[in-house]
Amino acid sequence: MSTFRPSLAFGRLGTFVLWLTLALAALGMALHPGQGGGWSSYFDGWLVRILWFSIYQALLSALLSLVLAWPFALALAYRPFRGQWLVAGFLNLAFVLPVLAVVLGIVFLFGRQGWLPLQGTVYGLKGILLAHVALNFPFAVRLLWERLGQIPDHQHRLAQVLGLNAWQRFRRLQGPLMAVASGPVFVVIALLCFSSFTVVLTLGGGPANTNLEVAVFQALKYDFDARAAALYALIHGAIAFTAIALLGRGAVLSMESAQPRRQNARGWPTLVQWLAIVLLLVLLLAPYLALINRALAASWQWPSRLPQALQTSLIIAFCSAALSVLLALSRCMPSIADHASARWLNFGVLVIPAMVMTTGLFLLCLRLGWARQATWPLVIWINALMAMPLIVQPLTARSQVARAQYQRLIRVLGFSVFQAIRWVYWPLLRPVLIWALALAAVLSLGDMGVAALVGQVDFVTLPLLVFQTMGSYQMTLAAQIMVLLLALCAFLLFLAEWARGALRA
Amino acid sequence: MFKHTAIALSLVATASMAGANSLTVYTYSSFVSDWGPGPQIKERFEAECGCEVNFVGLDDGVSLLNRLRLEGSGTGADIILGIDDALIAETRALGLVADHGLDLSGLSLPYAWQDDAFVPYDYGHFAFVYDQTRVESVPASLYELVYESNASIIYQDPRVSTPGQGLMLWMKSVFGDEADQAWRALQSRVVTVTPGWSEAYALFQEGESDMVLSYTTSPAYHMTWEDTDKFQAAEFSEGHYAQIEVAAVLTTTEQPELARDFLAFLVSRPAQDVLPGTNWMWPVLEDAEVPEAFEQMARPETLYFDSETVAENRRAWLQEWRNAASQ
Amino acid sequence: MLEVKNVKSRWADQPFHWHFQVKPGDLLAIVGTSGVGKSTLLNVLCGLHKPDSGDVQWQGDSVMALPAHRRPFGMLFQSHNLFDHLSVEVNLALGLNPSGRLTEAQRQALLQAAERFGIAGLLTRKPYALSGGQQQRVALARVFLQRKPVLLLDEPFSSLDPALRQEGLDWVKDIQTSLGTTVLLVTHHLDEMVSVTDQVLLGLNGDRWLDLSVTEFEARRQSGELTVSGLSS
Repeated sequence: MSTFRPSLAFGRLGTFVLWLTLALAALGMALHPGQGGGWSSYFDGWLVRILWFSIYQALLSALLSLVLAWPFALALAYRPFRGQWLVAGFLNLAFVLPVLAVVLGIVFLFGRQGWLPLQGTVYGLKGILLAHVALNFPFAVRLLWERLGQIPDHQHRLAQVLGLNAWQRFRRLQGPLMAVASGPVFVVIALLCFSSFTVVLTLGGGPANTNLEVAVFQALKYDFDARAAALYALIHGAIAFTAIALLGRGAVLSMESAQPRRQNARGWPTLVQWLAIVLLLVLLLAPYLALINRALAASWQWPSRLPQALQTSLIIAFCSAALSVLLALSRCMPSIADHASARWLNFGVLVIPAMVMTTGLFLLCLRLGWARQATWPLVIWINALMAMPLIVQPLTARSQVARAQYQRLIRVLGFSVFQAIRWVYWPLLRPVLIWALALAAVLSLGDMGVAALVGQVDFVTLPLLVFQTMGSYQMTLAAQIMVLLLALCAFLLFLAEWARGALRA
Repeated sequence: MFKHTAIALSLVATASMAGANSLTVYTYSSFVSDWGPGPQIKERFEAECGCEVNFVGLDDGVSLLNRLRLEGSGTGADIILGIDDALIAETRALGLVADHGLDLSGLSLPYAWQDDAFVPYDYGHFAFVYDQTRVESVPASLYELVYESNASIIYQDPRVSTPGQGLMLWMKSVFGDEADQAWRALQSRVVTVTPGWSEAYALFQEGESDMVLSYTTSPAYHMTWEDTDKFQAAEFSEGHYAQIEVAAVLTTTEQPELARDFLAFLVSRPAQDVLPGTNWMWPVLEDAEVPEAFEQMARPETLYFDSETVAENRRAWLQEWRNAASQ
Repeated sequence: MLEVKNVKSRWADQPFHWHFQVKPGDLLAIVGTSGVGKSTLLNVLCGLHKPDSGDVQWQGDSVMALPAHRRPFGMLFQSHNLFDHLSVEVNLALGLNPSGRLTEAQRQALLQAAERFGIAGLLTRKPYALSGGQQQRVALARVFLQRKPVLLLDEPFSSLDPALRQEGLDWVKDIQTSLGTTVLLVTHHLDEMVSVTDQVLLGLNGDRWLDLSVTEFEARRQSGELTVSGLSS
């Protein structure tokens, strides 16, 4: 591979930058500006409480998501049907769209003026659980469905020949597989909810409902206690990694492929499947519909900070998407992508709680006195890092295909690196690149946690503006700004799908 | 500290404000909202000095302190306005405040004032406000509220909000070492703890709780603008914790003279006349104009800690509150 | 003269050893079971695989130090000989200059070659929109344009039906006779091309190859002395 050396350098640069980021975050934790009390003073009732709450709500959220997902996964996996990629695509939606949209939707569904008002208040554990289930049960449905779809055809045929009825089939075929598949799905969702920030911060409603991520945020923002932030972040990271170790490798890697598979459909959905699909869509879309309904309830008002927030959000989304794609490209260089260690590093970036990394980097900047100047670069870079693992796979797959097909021809014809990119890689990767850019931009647009932690008061993005507006209980205005944000995301996702479809030829 | 919709969505951007003849003032956001004192004070001072005043509104009082810590000597501010008396010692410890050089002996304050750096511009007493059409038995003391009443309450997070911190100090001054138990006893009737004053007050007005932590002067707002006296501040026999809001010039300013002029202006009639009717706090000049409704407001006994005591204990007391309130 | 002198290589844990010569203008058929190293041999010759030892010379000069595209060899693979997403014209042009920019003379040559291979009407089309036969003519037109003295063909027609395969072979023959090109051709269909073959290289094993003239090869096969698997008729 002597003619393609620059790829090696580029790939190594990416690896280096990733490790450097992790190392700097760790350094920030170690060197944190030492404000706060003695170490022992942190191991108090508060720490016990937030630890307990972090774990308790995560387990409960995961359990509820899973139980709700079972019947849907069973019904959808009953047999492949035409257009199932579309349903699968919908299941990914809640994962990609801004978390705050679901939070607002939950408030509008179950709040005091909502469609289905809850006893008492939606703020607190109830609201947190509802939002976590709304965010994660579609994900559980997709994972279980995929897993059930792996039952070989001949087993289904065998069941048919043996004349097993639906219950017997469930007991012999789906049931055992579901049981096996549910474990990892449970752990993954519990892990995601354990690291939940936006939901707990916005729906927690008081110090009684605080998890570790929110405690990190509060330690930095409320108490200006860097030592507490570092401690909570470390505990968080340690627990998260324990959970991952528990899980093993293979199960989580399925999280990477966040794309619907297009299977050859044989027929239309059965009646039960139709029912499941309709019910699923109602559940999935209800928060968004409630949100839009609320936004339309009053005439549109744009707060004066909106243009600034919009501009900030767009610039950050664009920059972090571009960086994310560059980084992902460096990860799919031939010299890098083939290594198992590369997959591990990508995976590590995916599961390291973003807030832990953010905290480390932010503490470092504080220590160096750059906290104010670092806002933009930090927000951009961390958002880029978070999106990278989600876009790297399709990019790697596409570039590997391109390489497998044309690398020999490229060498025999004597292309330079530039010519290889111009004639082969750019035209072949372009659709996936645009898709990756748009997806990374959407993910970055929806981020609130990083911006909230790193940003100072005069730094405002669209989700932060929504958050602040929510904070003052101007819910209609919050809904309106969120609808604007959703429209932006929808446009970008549409662009992404169009790029993948139309530009493919 | 009074306003209706919480976050002032009309903040002034901080970028490059160090103009030759301009002052940058960090304050809390309700101060600069359209209905807060900010706009009028800006207008009146600018007319006097021929300069430009830029207010930067931050979340709440405690965030001001955190912002200063974060920025250190690189801060873009000339003045901070809106720290309260409890935070003075901690703020001074940053080494960023300059002497004001003013004679403050004529000011009227809840307790004797002597400080070279911080200029008090208004004050109030914390109080629990209730709707007398809804609450029948009003607790007559903090002790009753904590141990005997069944009224639900909303208060602010002492880690970020000065009223919340005020309640913490109030509890501490009344219950001392037993504050921990008092917090636990109160906990079951706490609807929520909000990050700021305005969130708490908005929730209270929507009927989420029977009482809300605010100021003795809060009813005056409703009397003045809504012509109703249904909102009342409960008077507690132990006395009420006082809050004095202060401003100071930062050592990093390039225009110390102008900044000192601003502080002097703040305790002169033109500014003092504005504050009561916009910030809904008592003026520090005896003869300043106050809304008529202020006549009916209670002038309770003052409780306070000196700020060195607060600085020494704030962390421990916060921890005590946090541990009790998170159960 | 193409001389392959004791070229040794290991590939996928299998040792390979080649030693043979081909006269200029001849057609050498390379046969043997799959896995015996036919493609590996061509890849070594054209510079895609670096052998462990040995030398390859053309007209007395070693080519070993040259990168793939500077060697006197034109190469067609089993598949992916054309960039599917680029037009036929660009595909042809890239054979002449990787930058895609052509001199007027090169342009004329390109058009003539297109004319000659019957693809002049397809220049703006993309390869995926062409038939298998058209695709193979585009690929052949490109190597024709390159004017390389030696043509290495790694079963480029094997996936086509017999008629098209025959057509492809005719084009190769056409290039060989008109340009005097030396051709090395891996095939599973030796019987279809005995008439055009001068020499046969038969792989028995990675490091055991028989280098025979076509008459000798046929004679030994008729007599049953050689059973050649991997050949279909």
